[in-house]
Formats: sequence, C-alpha cells, structure tokens
Amino acid sequence: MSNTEDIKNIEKVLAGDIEAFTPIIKKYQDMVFRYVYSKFNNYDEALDITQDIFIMAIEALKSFRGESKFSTWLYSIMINYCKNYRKKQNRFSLVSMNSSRDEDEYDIQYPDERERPEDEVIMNDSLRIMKEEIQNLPDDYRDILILRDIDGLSYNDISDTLGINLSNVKVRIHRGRELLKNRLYERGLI
Amino acid sequence: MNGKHIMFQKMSQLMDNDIATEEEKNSILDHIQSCDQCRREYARLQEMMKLFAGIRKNDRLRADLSGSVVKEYLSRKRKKSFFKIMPAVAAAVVFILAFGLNSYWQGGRHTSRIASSSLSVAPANDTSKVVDIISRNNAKILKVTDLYIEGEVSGGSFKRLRKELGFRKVSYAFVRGESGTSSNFIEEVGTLSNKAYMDAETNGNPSRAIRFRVYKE
Repeated sequence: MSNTEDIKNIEKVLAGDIEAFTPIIKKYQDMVFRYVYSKFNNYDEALDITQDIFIMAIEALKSFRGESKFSTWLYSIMINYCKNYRKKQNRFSLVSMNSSRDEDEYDIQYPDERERPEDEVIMNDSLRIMKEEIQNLPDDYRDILILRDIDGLSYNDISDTLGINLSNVKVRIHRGRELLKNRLYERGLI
Repeated sequence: MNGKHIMFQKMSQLMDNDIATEEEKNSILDHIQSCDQCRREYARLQEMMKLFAGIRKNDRLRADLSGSVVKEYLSRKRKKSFFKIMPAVAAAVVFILAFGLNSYWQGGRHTSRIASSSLSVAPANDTSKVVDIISRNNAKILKVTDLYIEGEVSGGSFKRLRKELGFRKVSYAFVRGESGTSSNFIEEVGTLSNKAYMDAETNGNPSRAIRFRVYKE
C-alpha cells in the first residue's frame, strides 16, 4: 500500500468510515510493535502501547495535513508516545517498591513454535544479550538504531521522523553501531 | 580510510550501500579482503547486523491488532461522549432530586433530621414557599416553567390550596374525564371569586381534579 492509498483511507476515516483505518493498522502494526518492543522489552506492554499509538493516531488524524508521508507522521506519534511513556514510567519507578526487571521476564518474549529447539535457545540467548545492550545505549543512539536496523527505515524517513538533518542521522547511526559493536564484542557475542 | 585500516564508519556505510563511488567501494572491499584486522572488524559488524535481523524476525506481533484498535477506539469515543454530557445530566439530576426531595419533605412524610436541617438553611424564596404549599395540600406538581408552576389537585383540596396561596396570581381549569384534558384556564387573583362556577363544574364531586397554575412574581 503506497502513501497515496494511505491518504485515500485517511480521507475515508475522516469522513466517518472508521473501518477504513484497518488496512493502515495492518500495514504498520509490525513496524510500530517492533519499535515499542525494542524499547520496552515486554511483549504485553508493547502490545498495549502499540494499540494506544494507533488509537492516538486515529484521534489526531485531523491534524495530518499530508505535508509529509503518513508513515513519517505515524512514526513521530510513536516516538513521542514512547518518550512520554518512559517519562511516566520513570516517575512511577520513584515510588515503586521493586523497579528492577526480573530476568525471567525475557523468557516469555519469544514465540514457542520452535523448529529446532537447540538453535532457538542459542538464538534467543544471543538476542537477549543484544537487546540488553540496545537498551543500555544512550537514547540518541538507541532510537535511531531501532528505526534503522530493526524497523528498516531509510535515512530520509529517519531524518523526517526525528526532525534532525540527514548528515546527523548518518553520524548517529554509524557511531551507535560502533558503540554497540564494541559492547557486544566485550560480552563475547560477536 | 585512515591510510592503514578502514574506519568503522566506512564499514557501516558499506553495510548501508552508502559509499559515494563504485571505485571507493571496491577499494574498501579489496582492503577488507587483504587485512585480517579489518576483515575481523567487518565480520563483527555483519554478525551484529544478523542479530538485528533476528530481532526483526522474532519480535513480531502474534495477533492482528486492527480489530481490537477500532473496537477500543469506538469504546473510548463513546465514553468521551458520555462524559461530555455528564455535567448537563448531573445538573438535571440534582435539580430533580432537590425538587423532589423538597416536595417529599414538605409533604410531612419525611422524618430525616439531617435533611430537615440542611433544607432549613437554604434561603427561602417564593418558589420554595409555593412548592411547600402545594405539597402540603397533597397536590401534584406537573410542570415548572419560568412563568409558573403547574399542578393538579382534587376539587376538595383546591379551595384550601387557593386560600393558602393568598395574594399570588393563580389560574385553574377542570380536568375532563379519563383523557386528562383540561378546560380553558380561568385566571383570577386574590380570593376565590369563581366559587359558584367551580361548584358547578365539580358537581359537588370533591375528587374531580383541578389543574392549576401558580404564576411567579
């Protein structure tokens, strides 16, 4: 579905046909979910947040003027939502009795349908370490690497979404990768 | 390239196919082939990119969210609409309750001391006095407008009610039969001047209903 098709569906939604938003959700849900999941590392939480992001997008749809691609607009909502969510979470953790994440939580993040259980266990363990290290990156690097290397956005889309210039996008991607690569190397993963 | 080894940034650009010229790209690839250190570094980068791909493949939704998003959106919209009209509904409920409670209390059937004390501190105005009088005479309040309070009372109680209303402007009409329609309102001020007419209309039947209006000043 192209941006033109997105716009057609948006026009239908604005005219009152809410069901016309369904193909848009189907198109972007994986991308939004991956970003959220990479940031928060909890499947159920990521599911709820993804749903909220789409609801927020429907509610804010009138403000979409078509000056940028719809996907860019949606990603901006996604990023802002996650930033605010994290702030709220941090505020809450100040009064929480136990803010640390239980290691076992990671065990429920992966699908159970395994073709080769041994490989799957090794892969899951590698991915767990990888995710930990992504989480530990500074915000500027973490967000941009999720967008680029997990969600597969182009440099230009990242530039539009984050509102930073293209050369800055490239610099952050390469520096972020280098930092992450060094940390993974130190942990013996690569 | 720093002359000896390839900088990580160039390898990262190579990974993204973002090297400016084909010549430069070939030069970087040639160096990686021939330099152990750069080859190992590039292999680590490739490993890392595989892990990214693993996350991309693994972290997928196990369900289609489109249905639940639309359903949740509509549910929240309904809730928002409900909360928008809540102040008006609440105001109406408060008015009706206050009015009903007052009528009920004034009718002498309520014994709550709390209600009694709370009502007694309310500023007395003529409307509440009229409601008081109407309730005391076992009349029903049917309508409250800016101009008048309309009610219904049995013929037997109307005379006493009218007397208690005293100086106030009152009009009344006789309710006809089962249909509940009323004749034209007869307007009068002060004492009950149309007693003979009223007696004729009620035919001495004190249970015949009379619709009345007490006008506000």
